[in-house]
Amino acid sequence: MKNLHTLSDYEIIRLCIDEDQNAFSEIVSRYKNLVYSIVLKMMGNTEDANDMAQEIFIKAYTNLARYSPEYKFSTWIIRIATNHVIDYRRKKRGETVPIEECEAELGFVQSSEQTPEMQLVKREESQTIRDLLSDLPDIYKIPIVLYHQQGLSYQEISDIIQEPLSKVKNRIFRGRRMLKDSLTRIGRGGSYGFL
Amino acid sequence: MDSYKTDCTRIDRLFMNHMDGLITAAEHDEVRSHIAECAQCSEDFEVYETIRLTLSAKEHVCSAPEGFEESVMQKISQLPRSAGPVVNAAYLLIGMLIISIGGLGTVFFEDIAGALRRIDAFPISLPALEALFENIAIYLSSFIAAMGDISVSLFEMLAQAQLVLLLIFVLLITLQFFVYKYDKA
Repeated sequence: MKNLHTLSDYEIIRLCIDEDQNAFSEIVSRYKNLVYSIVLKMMGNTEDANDMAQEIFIKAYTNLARYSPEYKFSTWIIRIATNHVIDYRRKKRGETVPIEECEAELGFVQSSEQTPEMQLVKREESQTIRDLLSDLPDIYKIPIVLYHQQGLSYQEISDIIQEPLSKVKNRIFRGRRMLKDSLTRIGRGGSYGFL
Repeated sequence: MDSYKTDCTRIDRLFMNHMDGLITAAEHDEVRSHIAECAQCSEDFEVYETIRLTLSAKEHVCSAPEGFEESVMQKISQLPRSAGPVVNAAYLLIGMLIISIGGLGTVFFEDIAGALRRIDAFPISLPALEALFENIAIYLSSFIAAMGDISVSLFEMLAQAQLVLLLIFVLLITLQFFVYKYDKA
C-alpha cells in the first residue's frame, strides 16, 4: 500500500491512470480548497460553487491522461475551472452576484486594535471592492482573482488562460484601474469614508 | 503641464509595480515625493492601497464544504469505465479471427481436397498443427454442407468483405495507438 501523501501530483496521476482510481481522492484533498475558492469568487454563491467545483474535479479525472507534467497540476486544474465556469455562464447568460460567502464562512477577521466603527467602515470597504470585482468582465476579473486572491504569478496565469504574459499584465493593470475608477466615483459620491 | 502629466503616468505605472511588490527604494521615494505634491495621485494611491490590501486579505482562502471529497469520489466511482486501448485491440483481433474463419470456410467448402493438399505441402512440418487444420477443415466443410445455400452465400460474402474489414481493423488499431500516444504526451 503506497503512502499517497509522500507522492508527487504526477506520481498520483500515473497511479490513478494505471492502477487505482481511488488515488484521485488525494488530488481532491490537495486542491479542493483552491478550486472551491476560485469557483466561489467567480460564481458568487456557495451552492453553485460546490456543484461546480465537484464537476471540475470529475472533468479533471476523466481527462487525466491529457495532463502534462510540463505544467503544475494546480495550473492545469485552475485552467479547467476557469473554462468550466465561463462556459457555464455563457450557457446560462446569468449575471454574477456579489461575493460574500467566503467571508461569511470563515468569519470576518477583526483586528483588536480597531474600534467597532472602524471595523464597520473596513467591512463596508471590503464589501464594496468585492462587489465591484464581481461586476468586472471575466477577462479582467479572472486574472485579478488569480493574482491578488490566489497568489499566482503572471506566468502561471498566462499558462492558465493561455494568453501571452503581456496580455495578462495589461488585463490586471486595466482591471485595477477599472476598480480604482469605480471606487473613486463611489467615494466622491460620499458613500464611504475611506476616500 | 505636459511634464506634470508624464509624471502622473509614470507614477501610475509605479503604483502597479508597487501592487506587484516590484518597486525599488528609489522608485518608492519618487512616488512619495510625487504624491506629496499631487492631490490626484495621492487619492489614486490611497484607493489602490485599499484595493491591494482588501484583495490580498487571508479571508480569500475558503474551505470546501464538508464531505466534498467523498461526494466527488462517489460520482467518479459511478462513471462508466473505459475498456482501454489494449482491451479494444483484443476485441478487434477476435473480430478479425472470426471473419478469417469465415473466409477459410469458403476455401475449404469450394475445394476441400485442394486445401488439405496445401496443408500437407507446407514446407515446415508441424504434425500437431497440420492435424488441427485438417480437423478444422473437415469440420467446417461438413458444417457448411449441412447449412446448405444460405451458408454458402454468407461465407462468400464474408470472404469478399474480409480484405476491406481487415484494412479497417488495422486502421482503427493504428489510430487508437496514436490517440493513446497523444493522450499520454
